[in-house]
Amino acid sequence: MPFDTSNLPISGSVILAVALYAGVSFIGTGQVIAKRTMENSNWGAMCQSTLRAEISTRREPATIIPRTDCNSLLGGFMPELGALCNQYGNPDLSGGTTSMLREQERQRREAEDRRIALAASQTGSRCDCAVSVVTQDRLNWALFAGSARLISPPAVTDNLNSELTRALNSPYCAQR
Amino acid sequence: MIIGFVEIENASVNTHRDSYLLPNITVVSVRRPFLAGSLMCAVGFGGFGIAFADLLYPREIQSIIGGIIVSLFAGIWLGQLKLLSRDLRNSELSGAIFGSYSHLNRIRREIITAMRSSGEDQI
Repeated sequence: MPFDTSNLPISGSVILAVALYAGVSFIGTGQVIAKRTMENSNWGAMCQSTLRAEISTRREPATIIPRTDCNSLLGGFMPELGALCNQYGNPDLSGGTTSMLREQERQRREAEDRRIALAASQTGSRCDCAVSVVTQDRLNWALFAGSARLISPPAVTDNLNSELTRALNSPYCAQR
Repeated sequence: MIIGFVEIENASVNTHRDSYLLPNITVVSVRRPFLAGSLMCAVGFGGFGIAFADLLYPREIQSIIGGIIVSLFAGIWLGQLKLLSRDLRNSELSGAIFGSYSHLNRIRREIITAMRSSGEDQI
């Protein structure tokens, strides 16, 4: 026997309209509002600058390599000896060890700069990941969009930034 | 305009699917079954458009306005003719034909006229 909606206290067309509106809010309008809300909140720029600052703090401190050339070692005590060093080409008194260490340090810094540049270029995908994770909270966004802001779940309004930060630091997005 | 077919003969009403004997019909009703639903959709999407006007692009707002107009027009325009009798109670046969509300109302009056004349013939 077919389901007879005429026995219900509300008409079938009202049920159909409510189902249609809920479906559109869940699949379409809620997601659109989620993306636009986060775009307008300037989260992307803030997230990228925060991540870049965080990456920069991970830079290892520079290794201090003492100068071992003749002028630096002797000129500090007696400027005449320094002048004499310069006359003889200011030789390195460590036998080339500090030059080698300095070159190694330069190469290490270059490699670190490249690593930081690469990490900084990937901050966008981490921020996008956080946005994508928060957008997946379809029910709350559907309620927010479908009720025309009358229902404002804290997760999509007041606590939006903390939800985004939590998603950003989650293992899922941290691996990006 | 109607979706389907209705023809009134001397003692019967024939649709594209069913035939009804005029003496057995007790009520001929025309309703707008989708009016409440279309009003709800119009209110819902209208509220959405107003509440989120700051986040929506102009073309999206235009689409919402267009959708509301189409929804309201469809709700007002679309009608359903029901032929009711004691025999057809709770039967799917009682929901007969969809079409333009004004056209179905005209058919309703024609059916009533035919029922009256068939009743007078029996007397």
